[in-house]
Amino acid sequence: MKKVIVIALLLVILPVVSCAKPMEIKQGSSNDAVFITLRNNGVESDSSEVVIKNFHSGARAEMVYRIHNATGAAIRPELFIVPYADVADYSKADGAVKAPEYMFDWVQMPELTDVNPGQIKDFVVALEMPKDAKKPPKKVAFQVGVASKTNEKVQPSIGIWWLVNMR
Amino acid sequence: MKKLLIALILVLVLTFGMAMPVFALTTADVDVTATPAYVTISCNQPSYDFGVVAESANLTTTTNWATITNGSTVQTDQTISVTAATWSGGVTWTHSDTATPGVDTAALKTNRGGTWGIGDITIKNAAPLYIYENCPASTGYSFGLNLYAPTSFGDGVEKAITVRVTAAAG
Repeated sequence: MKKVIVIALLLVILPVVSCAKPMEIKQGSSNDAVFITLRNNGVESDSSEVVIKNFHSGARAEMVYRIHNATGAAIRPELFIVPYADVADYSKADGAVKAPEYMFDWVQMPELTDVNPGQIKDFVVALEMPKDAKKPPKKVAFQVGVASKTNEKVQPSIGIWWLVNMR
Repeated sequence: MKKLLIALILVLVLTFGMAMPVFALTTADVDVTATPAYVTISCNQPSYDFGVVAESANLTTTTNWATITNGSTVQTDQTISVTAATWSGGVTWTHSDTATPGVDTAALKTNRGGTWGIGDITIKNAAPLYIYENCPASTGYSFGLNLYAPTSFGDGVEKAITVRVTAAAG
């Protein structure tokens, strides 16, 4: 009986533990991910915004930040909310207003780990609206930025707009 | 057989019980897409060392000391900020967002390729200012740094702070 329980536990725990880490992939870029390349003192993104439609109480929206380390050294990416970013300055705001600060608590940042030179690693950023949360305006926007966490003291970064359309 | 059934039930219970937070995905009726648009910037300068600084010193680089190469295919809004409210090292310095130096309080300004004193931009930690709003696609620029040293120091340990230039579709 003990053997069975141990085997069962291993069968469950091993895949769960391995999936809990950011997934490493070999290649790929698509519209269901934001492809970021970190270079020596530079950063590039193939997407400028993430659009979420039909968001509502209890809903969860995920977007993959697929990060490629194009430098010669391991880099730990940095993902962060840009609280000051005002969508009023964005020419493609499409009626969205600056997200209220309480929405920042709905953003779930991934555990950040080093990306080895030449590797690509996925990090999932999620937005989850609690069921009992105050409803925000119909169209809101905020930014999730990305930079490389290095010892450089002048650091380029990119802010990706998250445009959220409520149901 | 009974043992196998128990093991199977255990696997199912543990899988769904433990895996849900890890495998949670976008809710079925919510649509999420990334809009393609190429945004990229890089800087030719990784850091600047102002060297030994005197109390109340006002030190500048040239206003075109660093170059931002902007290969973005869309218009961007670019802000400049410091990533912390304090300068690290020994007795830390407070970073002044109002460009007002004081006791162990320093400030930074920038100028985008012009003349110091004309169109200077305070580099803030909270609510950063634009260094280049509505920067056209594929348009780079240069900038310099201006340090306002504290009026007095708590120690002689080297201080550091990270300056970040952020580009977003504008």
